[in-house]
Amino acid sequence: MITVIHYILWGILAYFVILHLIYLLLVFLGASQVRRYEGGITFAEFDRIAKSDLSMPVSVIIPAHDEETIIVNTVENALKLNYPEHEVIVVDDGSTDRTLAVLREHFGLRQVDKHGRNHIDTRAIHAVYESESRPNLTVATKENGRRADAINAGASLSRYPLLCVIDADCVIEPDGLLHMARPFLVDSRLAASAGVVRPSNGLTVEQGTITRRGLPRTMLGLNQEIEYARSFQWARTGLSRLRSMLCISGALLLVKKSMFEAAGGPWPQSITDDMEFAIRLNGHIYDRRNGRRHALAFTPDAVCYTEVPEDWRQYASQRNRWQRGTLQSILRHWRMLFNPRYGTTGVFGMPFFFVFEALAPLVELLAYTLAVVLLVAGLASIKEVLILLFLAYIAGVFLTLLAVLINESSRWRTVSWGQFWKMIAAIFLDHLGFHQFRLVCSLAGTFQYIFLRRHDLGAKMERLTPAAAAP
Amino acid sequence: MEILAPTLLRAALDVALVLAAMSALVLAVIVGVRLAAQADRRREETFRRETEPLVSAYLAGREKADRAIKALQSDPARGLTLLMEVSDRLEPSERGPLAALFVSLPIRRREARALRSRHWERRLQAAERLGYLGDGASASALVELLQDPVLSVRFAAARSLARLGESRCVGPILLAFDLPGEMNQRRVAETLHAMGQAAVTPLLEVLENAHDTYSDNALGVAARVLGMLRAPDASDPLARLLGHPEYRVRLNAVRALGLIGDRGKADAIAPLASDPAWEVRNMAVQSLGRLGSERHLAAMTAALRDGSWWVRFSAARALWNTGEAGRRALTAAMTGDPDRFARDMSRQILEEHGAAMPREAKA
Repeated sequence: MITVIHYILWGILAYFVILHLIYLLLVFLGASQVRRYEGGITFAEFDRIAKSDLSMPVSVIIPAHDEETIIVNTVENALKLNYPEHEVIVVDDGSTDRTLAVLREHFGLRQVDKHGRNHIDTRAIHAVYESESRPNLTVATKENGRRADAINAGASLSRYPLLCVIDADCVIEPDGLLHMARPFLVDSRLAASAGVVRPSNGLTVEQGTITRRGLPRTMLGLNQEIEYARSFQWARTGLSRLRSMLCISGALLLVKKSMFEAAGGPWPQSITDDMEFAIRLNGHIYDRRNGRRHALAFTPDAVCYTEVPEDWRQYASQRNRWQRGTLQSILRHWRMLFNPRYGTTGVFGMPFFFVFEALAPLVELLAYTLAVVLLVAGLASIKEVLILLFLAYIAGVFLTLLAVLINESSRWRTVSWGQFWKMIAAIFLDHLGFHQFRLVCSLAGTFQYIFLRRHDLGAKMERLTPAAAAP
Repeated sequence: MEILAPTLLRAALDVALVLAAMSALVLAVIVGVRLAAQADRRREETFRRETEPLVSAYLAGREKADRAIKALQSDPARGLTLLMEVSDRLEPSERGPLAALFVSLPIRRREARALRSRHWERRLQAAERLGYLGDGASASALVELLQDPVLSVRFAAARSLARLGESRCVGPILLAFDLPGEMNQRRVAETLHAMGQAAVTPLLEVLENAHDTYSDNALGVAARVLGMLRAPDASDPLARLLGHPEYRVRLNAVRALGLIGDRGKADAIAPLASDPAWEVRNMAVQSLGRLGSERHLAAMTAALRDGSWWVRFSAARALWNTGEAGRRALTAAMTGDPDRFARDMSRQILEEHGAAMPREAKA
């Protein structure tokens, strides 16, 4: 028995060391990628793109379900994006509230007989509306079919060769679309570009324009701020360098329409459609049989803000869903695991995602259980367990601080000193309860997905008070 | 048997302490970086507050160059960035007085040397800066840079050559960017377009000598730029390209003819509304719409029945743009065309312009 425990312990330690070494590698790759990215931007390049008649026009797709409190602000923000030519397509996915009504009232919509090219089957579109005052706005209302189905419906109505998918609660920086589109101008092989997502809690948005910036007020919100920073600042940047960016946030994605259709669009039955689509897109792009003529890019300065839950119940539901979605996405594409046909994506990206993301909660549970067993059995002292816990804690702090360093060394937005110290405090507090709470949620998600076959989308996120979000 | 070997624990503790020390160090570095960035921002603000009014006054003729030059020379790197920004805000014809300020900056040699830097980011920056510095002597070095292995550097060199008005470089630029892909060709077209009317003659020469020297990609770009420059002299050579075997060349030629707006070429464009390539058909109907050619309403109406959604869409828009007669033809197609797709597309465009009442919502 002791021998078994001994091997398990060494296995966990090896897992921990390998995971953190990979993270460290990603930090360095991420930092070098950011340097290269910034070095490659020429003087006034974004002004040039903004003025160019030759920039690729973009269709911005906003799927919305029961978003009456925030939808007008989001659409106003999308319409105001600084870009030479773009249209905004809102797909009301069978809302039961006044989402469509507020859009009709605010934008003066009138029904038109519009239909696009149907490359991907979707639930029935009931009606299409256009705005009299905003010629580049289209609103479609359809039978409810989850976010992925709404995105596919929006894509069928789109006119332009680039599709930008954003969430209904997203606020994009005014130049966000320019930054997202730039990689397509630089590299004609590019199939999709993903941007950075940050919590919008703490921002003040009026008529679709960000008028005040700040950080979330609650510790839970702040915790997610640093979690997003860690995830986007080096993890995705580094992973994109390794052709392993298998998790692209659905909150901000720009993709060539031809590639979107070739990959089949997001899967309506998925629990987290963005993750599943990202894996499928990677599979399509890096499959040797398809010639590997395309690429994916991560744009570290295209920023989109999305609302994060500041209520523990909603937070738990979101994390539970993410874990179930991760498992579903990986298991659906298990053929890519360790498969050299997909190049680095198959040999490194998928296994990394599976072993160090999907299975991480189980390994961590095993570690905590083992610690208790060792203590109870008298095989280890409190001091010894605390040393190992401190090592795990400080490794997490160190890596997160490196993410902050990358951010501060770049020319991107920084926060005030007061907010900066709050963020630093949140980094030190992350592993003192928040991380363990995420672990419990992920474990529940794993259990529910594997044993209860739970595939629903969980509780709908309640938006912040309309007073803060409404135009 | 010991589960946790003492050596392992000692090592774990050592690693944890090292990481803790490194975390403190990283935190200190972050604070240092923030402080340095703050100080840099303050210096930048001071520099701009003092220098920008002097440059503006000089450009307005209210101040001699000396004071502006002195202020710019106090921080040449910031001075260059400021001048580049000012230059971008001005029309090309107003930029003349800036040359004296650019020349005064003691960084020309450094930038010329940087064209041979090992770091592509530095070569890119230098290529770009030399375009602003207006240094004709660097043109040959920039031409060499058109062969750089990094595409972005080549584009920066080409943009600088265009900015310098080096029209003799049109040919080398086209040869350097003989690249497939729509986006690449757009970028080259935009670069050459920045050269303005100076590029017309060499581009016309490219059309004349295409078969000997230039690829179909280059030919397509040349045709496209001539259209963007609205060069009337290019109508005849472009019309000759409408029969080119490569569809991209036909596409760019027909697009350019539409932009130039020579109505006399509508007869030559009309047959391309039934070209085998849908992109060409699409552009042909767009060009007919731009020319507002009422004589070719039949070709545009026929395109409403095209198998490609884009061609039908462009045909309907072209008809709408072709004045009253086109709108009548569109209305007639909406009500009486035998093809369902033609009727649907006509209705869509008429509704878009508020000229038709929508049908009942689809079930």
